[in-house]
Amino acid sequence: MSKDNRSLESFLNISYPESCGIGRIGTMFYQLGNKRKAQEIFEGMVEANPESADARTALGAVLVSMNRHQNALPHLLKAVELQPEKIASYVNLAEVYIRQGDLPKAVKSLSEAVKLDQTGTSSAANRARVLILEINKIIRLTS
Amino acid sequence: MIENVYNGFDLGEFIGADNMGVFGMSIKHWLDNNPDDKKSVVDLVEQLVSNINPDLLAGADRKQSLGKYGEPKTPDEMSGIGRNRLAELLGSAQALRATFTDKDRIESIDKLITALALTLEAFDMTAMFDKRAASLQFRNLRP
Repeated sequence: MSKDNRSLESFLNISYPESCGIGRIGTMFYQLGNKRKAQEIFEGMVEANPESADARTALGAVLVSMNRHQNALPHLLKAVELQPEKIASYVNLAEVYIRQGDLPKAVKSLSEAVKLDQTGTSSAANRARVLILEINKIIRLTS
Repeated sequence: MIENVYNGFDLGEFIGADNMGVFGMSIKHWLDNNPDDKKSVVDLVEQLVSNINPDLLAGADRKQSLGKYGEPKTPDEMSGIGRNRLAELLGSAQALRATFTDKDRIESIDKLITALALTLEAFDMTAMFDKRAASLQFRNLRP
């Protein structure tokens, strides 16, 4: 068989709504506390389409919740690169930096999320606003 | 109301001793972390039952779960992917795997196969839970 560089998603003709359907099942597992199964589903989605920012963000979020920050980082960085207007990716990325103690990077990522939310209605951006306030408090206390 | 749900309701039977599935894993997760908080388990069961299929499967709210004529949508319609299509995709992915010789490609498609198998499993479990939820509602019918 000749080498085919198409993504598995494209090779198997998995449509976007179908991909979202699989993602919802992964989200259901996550919400019910079965992070391992959620992780396996999102990993499969990333393998099916490595260019999917949604799949990368979801996998990153699950890995962060499992305290696997180092594993989450490349997925969240890639998600930001693939879809720079996706607010959740910046906030998830900041969560990793916070856990790693890299507060300047966390604030930078959170600020990007806030900048993208012009209307102030995104829950992810609102979390970013709160986190920035808290981080600034910590920086003031420790400096 | 919590007592009404709890009385006459066999949690073990409801979960199923052989395969606890998503539902049971969620409850187990809670019990593992809160071994003395039985009331919360009952709350959790009630919450899960009241949110069971199709809402839970699709992660949508109840309003969204109603179809064009006010009838609940089936899980297949709501999730963006149907059970038959999932089974077809799983078969295609397995057939495609058999043609791969490259180790990385095999590892990659194995992850996708796992994701598809888990999603399919979730479909089947949800159908089972739906029947159990209906049975539970029958035994605890309230206006």
